[in-house]
Amino acid sequence: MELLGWIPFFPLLGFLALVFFGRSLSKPMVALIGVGSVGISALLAFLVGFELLRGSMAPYRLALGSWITTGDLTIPFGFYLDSLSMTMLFVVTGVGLLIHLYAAEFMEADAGYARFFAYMNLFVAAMLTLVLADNLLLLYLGWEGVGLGSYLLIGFWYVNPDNGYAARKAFVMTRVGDMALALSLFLLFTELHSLDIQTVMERAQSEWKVGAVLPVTAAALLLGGAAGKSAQLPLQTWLPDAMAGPTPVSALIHAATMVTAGVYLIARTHVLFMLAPSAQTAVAVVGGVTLLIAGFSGLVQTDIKRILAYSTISQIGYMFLALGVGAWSAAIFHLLTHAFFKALLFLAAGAVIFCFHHEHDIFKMGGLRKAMPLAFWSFLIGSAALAALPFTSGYYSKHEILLAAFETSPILWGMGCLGALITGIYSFRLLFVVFFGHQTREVEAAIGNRMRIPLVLLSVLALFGGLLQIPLDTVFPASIETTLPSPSPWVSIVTLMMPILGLLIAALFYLTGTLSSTAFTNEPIKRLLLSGWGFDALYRTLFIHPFVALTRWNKKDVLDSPYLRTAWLSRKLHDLTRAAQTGRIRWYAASMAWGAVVVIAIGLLS
Amino acid sequence: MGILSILLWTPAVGALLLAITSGQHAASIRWIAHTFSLLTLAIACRLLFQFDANQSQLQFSEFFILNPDVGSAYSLGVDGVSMPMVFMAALLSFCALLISHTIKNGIKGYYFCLLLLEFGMLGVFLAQDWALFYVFWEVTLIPLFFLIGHWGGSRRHAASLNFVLYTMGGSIFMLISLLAISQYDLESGGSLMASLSQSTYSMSRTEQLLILLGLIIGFGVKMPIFPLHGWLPLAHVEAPSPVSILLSGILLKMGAYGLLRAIAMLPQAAQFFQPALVILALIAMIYGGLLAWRQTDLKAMVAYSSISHMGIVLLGIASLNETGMTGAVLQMTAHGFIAAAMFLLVGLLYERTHTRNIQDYSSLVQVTPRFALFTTLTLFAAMGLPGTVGFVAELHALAGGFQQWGGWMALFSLGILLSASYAIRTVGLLFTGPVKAKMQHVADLTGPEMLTAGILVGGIVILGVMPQPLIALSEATITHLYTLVSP
Repeated sequence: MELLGWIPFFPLLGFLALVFFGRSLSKPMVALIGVGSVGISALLAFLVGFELLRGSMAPYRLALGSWITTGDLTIPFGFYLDSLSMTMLFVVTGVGLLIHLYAAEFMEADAGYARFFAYMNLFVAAMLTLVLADNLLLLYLGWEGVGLGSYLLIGFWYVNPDNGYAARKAFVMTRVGDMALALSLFLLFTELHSLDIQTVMERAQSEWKVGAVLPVTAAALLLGGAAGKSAQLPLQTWLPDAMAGPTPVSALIHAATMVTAGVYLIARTHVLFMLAPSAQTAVAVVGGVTLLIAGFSGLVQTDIKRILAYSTISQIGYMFLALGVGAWSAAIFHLLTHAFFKALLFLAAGAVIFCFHHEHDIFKMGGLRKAMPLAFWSFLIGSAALAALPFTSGYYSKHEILLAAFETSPILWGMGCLGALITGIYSFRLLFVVFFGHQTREVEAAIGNRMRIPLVLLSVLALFGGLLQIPLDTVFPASIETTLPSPSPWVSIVTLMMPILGLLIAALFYLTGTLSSTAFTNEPIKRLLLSGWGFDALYRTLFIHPFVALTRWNKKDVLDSPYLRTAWLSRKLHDLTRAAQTGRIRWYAASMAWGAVVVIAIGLLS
Repeated sequence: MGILSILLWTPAVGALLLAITSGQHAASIRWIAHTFSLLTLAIACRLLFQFDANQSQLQFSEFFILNPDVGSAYSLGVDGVSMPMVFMAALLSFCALLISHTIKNGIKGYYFCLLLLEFGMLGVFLAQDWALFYVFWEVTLIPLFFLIGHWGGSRRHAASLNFVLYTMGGSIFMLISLLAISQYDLESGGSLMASLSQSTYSMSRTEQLLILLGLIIGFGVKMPIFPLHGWLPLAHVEAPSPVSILLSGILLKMGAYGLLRAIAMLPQAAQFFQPALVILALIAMIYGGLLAWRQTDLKAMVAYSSISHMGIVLLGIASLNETGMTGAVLQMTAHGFIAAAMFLLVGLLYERTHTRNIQDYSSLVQVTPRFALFTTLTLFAAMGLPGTVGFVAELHALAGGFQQWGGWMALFSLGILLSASYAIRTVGLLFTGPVKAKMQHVADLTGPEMLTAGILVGGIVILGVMPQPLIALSEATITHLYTLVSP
């Protein structure tokens, strides 16, 4: 179990090695360090994980040393392993390893090969710190670290200013959420005098009443932080732009791991949310609304990666929905299966882009089924799991979420079902457009084993990952789906049928061509959806333009002017008095005489 | 002679030696200056090791009466608040000298002024007598006036004049306040900081308020407190980079340090000014950040960001609680490292490209990876990213503020957000973007530059991961200060 402390260490070591010596290393050596460090972490994670699973599932704590100690603020470097952090650990190291392996081939032609793996390793180290941290401040360290990794990797191809803009946007927007998270940390520390997650939860439970102001505020602030990182309403607009990064980055950071950190955060602090029912409802509503608006936007996108990005936002919306209705395990379960199938979809999309002239527009592709069978099958499995077709991994997790949502509120369930329908449509639209029809151009490259193996393994996980049993009951209170009587069969049937209906609609539009999509779309609405509901334009007018105008107006610092006026005034006074010094004797004599008269007059009159 | 006197007078002896050296011997002038600053740093290191962090009282005290009629004394001492500053002054002076090789004209005068400046700065932090403090406070002005006015950029004369007038203007208020207190204490003997705190108890409330107001203005110009910051951008931009390092790294902290001492002396008045100070801190953070975001001159960007960062110090001081004051003292050291590293790196970049316009740069990461790494780390520290010393300091200051004002701290988070935007904007414009042919032949850091940058950036990262030694250094003294100011 002591090996736990070494898990984030190896990627960190890999990062340092690549930063300092990356330029002088050969590409195979870089790949060995970059992939190998995550490989060792994965191996250690599985060793530690099996030990935990074999034992009594009692949480394991490891103190590595102290970080900050002042007054009653004590922050150790400490790790905490229970079945929740173990699940995250498996996702980060397992899926992370596969993506690193894939990237070793995908990025091989790039001049910044070492830089790429350095950033990736940094990201993995930070993400592992985030999920293993036993206190909120260390979690925050990892939280900012993954934000940094995300920034560096979105802007990886830095010569294009658009990529830099996307990276800055992602960083600053998530930082808005981070501020909320920081404030909640201050609040928790000021009120409960600890930042240790377990201590905070215990104290909150014993000191705070359900629904009181403090837990609601703290939970709402945590939600703000989670919404920023997980690209939920109203901070979701950075994720589609984040697709500017290389595809393995999108798979690792913007699908499987970092963007689910918000879900992890809320699950980790679920005690607080149970004390704050209104905040928890807010989580559900945010999730429900986000999953719908992102799903609608996904329907009209033409960039293959942007479709997947909107789909990610939407699927994380499902996780938030699950958290909001108290289906904690279901949320984490969906996080796990989503990591499998969305990483698979991104990697398969990467393979298509890699082999097909670096094309992103799906309508310029077509008929790739024959030319790229592996990518096709990966996409088929991934889309099926994404749409939650029965017996794929996504089916188990999403079904559980929707049934739990029904118990809380049929409206939320309705939103979720509508979302499931939309998911079915957009995921199969993508599949049909890219892989069916007739091929327009020849495929220019083939993929090697380092890209094939991750695709195959992730396909297996996306298909059968739903059968994994994670003992999350030790972390969460009994979820409601087990305590409540199962809902009437028609709810299950509707939930089950929605994705299939979506598939059929997509087939009618894009496979058989029976229906024409142009007949159904209204141009303004399409443009609205394409732009992600105009949030960018809204924020631009609300925040960016006033900010820029204000700073432009005050570039020279208006406060200088009073001081400059003082200088101006003394210069004027100086000029005035200087005017008296003419050098003419007659003037001097006259003024002396007049002065004497005045002085004498004053003397006489007073 | 105690260790403090040796520390204090070493740079002065160096300056005297320089004065009698012929100006023709450039090599021997540089050698003398470097040796003496290294010697000072070594003594400061020794002091640091001998310093007992568990004691809250003054250590290594030295005392003898200078003028029995006025009661002024030559009194030196260090405690947990001044110790980090003394060390930083010695360290940054050493760093500033290390990168002074680009100064080619009038080097004798330059090095003389720099050593004299070091002498003055050390004196400010070591003096335990207000009269002595004031003398050293003014001593720093003279060399700075010449350093900016003679070796500065194109607007150097305006800048040095501006700087001196602003500071003198503030000093007058400070002087009046100090004179006003000292008359209460003639019988008990002098203007010692320690004994003056006792004598303030016999003052009327109005008097206390007026005295603290005078001190706030005096220290506020230096710190700077909004809206007394007008001198800062111009002086920092026009000063040669080694001097900018000392200006932002140490000179600004003199103001914060003095304010901390003044508040410990007049706790009741401090309570009265607390709301005003915190509002000024908030404005400074946001105002400085807004201006920094918009600047096109890199040095001006760093200068305005200094205003924003010193707002955090003021916030920590104004919170008047232990966590907040710890944050203020930490931020003084943290900003010492960060601002010094920023001005160092910007200065080095200017020497290579002869432009400071941020729009002129592009994709520097290709040609200068080491420079990019150091600069990026420093900017991340400036935005308070965890793992850097900036984070530890901001965390304490904000936590202290939160204990005092709760939800109002949400406004301060705007300042933090702003710092993220200007830092990330700078990183983006310097190191990424389309390749420009002109920027393809910039040399990377070498030799002494690497050493200097390595010391400063190393400090930023090491103290970010292991801040405990730094925190422990001031802990006992701050606890003691807190007992003085707590109502």
